[in-house]
Amino acid sequence: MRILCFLKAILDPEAPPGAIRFPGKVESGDVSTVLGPFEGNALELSVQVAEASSGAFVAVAMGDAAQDVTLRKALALGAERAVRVDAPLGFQDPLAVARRLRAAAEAAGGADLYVFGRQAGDWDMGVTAGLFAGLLDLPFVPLVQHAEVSGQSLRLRREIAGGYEESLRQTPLVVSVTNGPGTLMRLPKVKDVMLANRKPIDVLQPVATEPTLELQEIAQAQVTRQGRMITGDTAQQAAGLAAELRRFLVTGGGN
Amino acid sequence: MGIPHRVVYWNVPGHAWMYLPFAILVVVFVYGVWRRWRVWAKGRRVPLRPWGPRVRRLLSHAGLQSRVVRRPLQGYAHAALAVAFGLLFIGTCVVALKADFGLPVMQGAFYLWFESATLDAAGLAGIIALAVFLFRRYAMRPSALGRELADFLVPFTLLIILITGFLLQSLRIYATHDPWGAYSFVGYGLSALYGDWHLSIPAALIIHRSLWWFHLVLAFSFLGAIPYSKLFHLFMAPVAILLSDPQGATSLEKLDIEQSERLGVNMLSDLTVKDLVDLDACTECGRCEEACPAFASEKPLSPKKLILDLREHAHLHPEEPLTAAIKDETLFACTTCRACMEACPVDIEHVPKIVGMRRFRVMEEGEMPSGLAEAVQGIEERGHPFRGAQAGRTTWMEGLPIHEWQSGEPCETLLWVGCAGAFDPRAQKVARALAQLLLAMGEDVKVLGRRESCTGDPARRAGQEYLYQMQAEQNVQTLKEVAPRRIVTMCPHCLHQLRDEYRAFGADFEVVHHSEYLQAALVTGRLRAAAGGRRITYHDPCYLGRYEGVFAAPREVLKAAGGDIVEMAHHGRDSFCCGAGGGWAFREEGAPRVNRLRAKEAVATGAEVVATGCPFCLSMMTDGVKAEGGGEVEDIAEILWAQVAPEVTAQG
Repeated sequence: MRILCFLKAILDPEAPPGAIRFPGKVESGDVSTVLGPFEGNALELSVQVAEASSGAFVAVAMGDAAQDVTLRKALALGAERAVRVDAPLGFQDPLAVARRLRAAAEAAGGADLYVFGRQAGDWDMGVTAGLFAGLLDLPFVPLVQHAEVSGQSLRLRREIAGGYEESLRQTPLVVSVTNGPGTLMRLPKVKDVMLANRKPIDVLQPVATEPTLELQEIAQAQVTRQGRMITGDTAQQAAGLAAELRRFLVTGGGN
Repeated sequence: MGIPHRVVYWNVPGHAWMYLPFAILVVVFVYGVWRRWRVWAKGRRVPLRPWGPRVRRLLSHAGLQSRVVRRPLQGYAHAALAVAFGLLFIGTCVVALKADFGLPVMQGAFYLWFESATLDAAGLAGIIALAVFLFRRYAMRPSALGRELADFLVPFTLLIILITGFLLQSLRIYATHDPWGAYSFVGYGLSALYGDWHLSIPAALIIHRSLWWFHLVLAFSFLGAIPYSKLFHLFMAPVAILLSDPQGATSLEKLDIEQSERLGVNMLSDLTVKDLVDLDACTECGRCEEACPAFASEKPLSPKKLILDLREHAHLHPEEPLTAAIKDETLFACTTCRACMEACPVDIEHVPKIVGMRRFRVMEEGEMPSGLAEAVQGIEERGHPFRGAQAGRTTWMEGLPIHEWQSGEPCETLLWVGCAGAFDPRAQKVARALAQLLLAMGEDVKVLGRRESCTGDPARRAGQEYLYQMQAEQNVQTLKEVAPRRIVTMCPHCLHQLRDEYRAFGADFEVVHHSEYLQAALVTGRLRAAAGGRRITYHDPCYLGRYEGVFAAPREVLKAAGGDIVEMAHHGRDSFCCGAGGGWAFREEGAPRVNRLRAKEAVATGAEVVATGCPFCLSMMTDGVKAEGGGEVEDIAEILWAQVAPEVTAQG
């Protein structure tokens, strides 16, 4: 089975508040670029399906050179090739992204299975996989946790309330992958990491497309803490706490 | 009476037949040694020069048995048996020189005082020592001692050999009315009994002759068993001590990642000759097991069993991977605290073997326990192992007149904060206390800030040598650019890296732990502390104590801060790990937890404060002591700052 795995590295979500500067242009400063929270799951599923079907997977990312961290990880885990669609850091319209990824997929010769992470950890829109499937007119199965190869079909497992569902799907197909016990990304072997660091990454120029969504404004959340100790003996503390809670319910916490 | 002597082979006419069992003994012995040699020969050879420190260690640890006698009862019993064994061996050689080579060596005063009196004393000492061993193993029954058949046969056979030796001697004295018999005081004493029992001379002769052959066959069997049993430590313990790293193998071997065919240890040939000799040097005394925090907290690791399992594997399946013998749960249970290595009387190096095998599992097979894997990934992605940290490298020092080093600036004192000091909210307070102390000393304190990155120690201990080496190279490069006059750090793991392990990467800096620097400042009067008066117990961090040999400085600092120090059951070199080492700081640990065991000891001292000098120990001990209902847990810098701050204020 031939697989295209779409990956995205994001600015470290664990960076201290204020380290990433916005509004306006996003500046990375000293913040490192790390794999998004579900990219490892997408990568793991791609590796599993490629192994089980004696196929191969190609890793595709879109962004600036900082994306190489994810592509190198994919190469270390056995990706046949790594492709980066060049784009600047910052917000991208998901439909435009899907169009550009479609162009990249066509340039790569198409695939039987297109794998996305559930959502990128930065803008958290979670729609690119669905839009991409629509553009290719392919079925889309979101939030997959497990895939089993059965000829040219895939048995896909998703978690539902109180259990899971399984469906048998014919390829070609688009899936988005979420975290689960079977999609925890394996650790690459050091020799493979060293080899991956020497492999080339193909850079594609993005196709021209009109943005359908524009970012107007983003603002940093202001964190304020308004704790106060309720002192006194136990009875006084209880009374004080009750008064605070009543006030909170009436005013919604405002002063 | 003539010259004092005795007739060798008295009453044993067919004694020449003894060369038949002797020949068998030689063949069996040589084969046994060859069998072991085959295994050692597979090992990697590592440089051994300079020999001086190794020979000194040999004289101390093997010659004087200085580590063995740390446990006085069994230690001195062992030393006595070793001396006795040596003397009896010399005595037997003297007999052979006379009987087989006709040299007139066994006569006169030498015969009376050495061959008779001294050897009797040696035999008696041996019997007492063996009785102590058997009593410990079977009456006191410590769990660290095995009670297999071989564990019984070894001391019991030797005991029977010594007893029959005395019986033979006494029967000879009795039957020959030996005029010099009194010098053989044990045999002489026994011979006096035979008269009381009216033992006839013909009966004595028959008993003597039979017993002589029994004694001989038993002794030969015992000698033949040496290369097949733990008795082989007689030969291999000195070799293991001689080959052991004079620095205590605190620094791990730098792995050549580009050139190594296999990363880490998975086949016997990946181990060093020293590693393989260690397997045969083990005496199964169990001191490592008794010292091991992983074993004490019921994890599937006993350093003794690890060595014995490797030994068995080496002999039974020499061509098979070690993963067949040692499971991941065992490998990753180790906290790398080195308590086993410190306890081992024959200098077996357990930790380098464990980390070697971890290296293989991590780097060749991509296996690492969860929690640890995330921490190591954190080092790779953001230069520190603390997931979810909400701070930057310099958040802890907000409001303090401390500056990040700027390119081109000279740097007098560089405070290496460490990841814990920067990202762990509790350790940030220690960093602040230390920084304030340094400022009170009038130091121009600089930090690296965003240019500081994890030393890589957690990655190295976890077996991720590749990532470690990248961190080390980057940090050494940064430090060479900064060229600080000295580096002060509050983290013993950073200390060990910067001071020792980074030497393999070209580092040569003056690096001190904050306890050493603060103690020096107190001595020279650069710091003055107000009188305190709290009862304090000090927990020795493994990487500060056993790894870096710093025991006195933190205690001196606490005393200067007015502390009244009470020691825990385990302290100094015998300190007990807090449970954070070897990557455990980042893993979920099930009950019973190591920190609870250590906290119990701390609370038992009745101290108001548990002090330590490591941010990881601080975190583990805080949790443990709280759960055990103890008092405060503080770093020495915090305790000292509390006493120094009023003095600084008083001076304005």
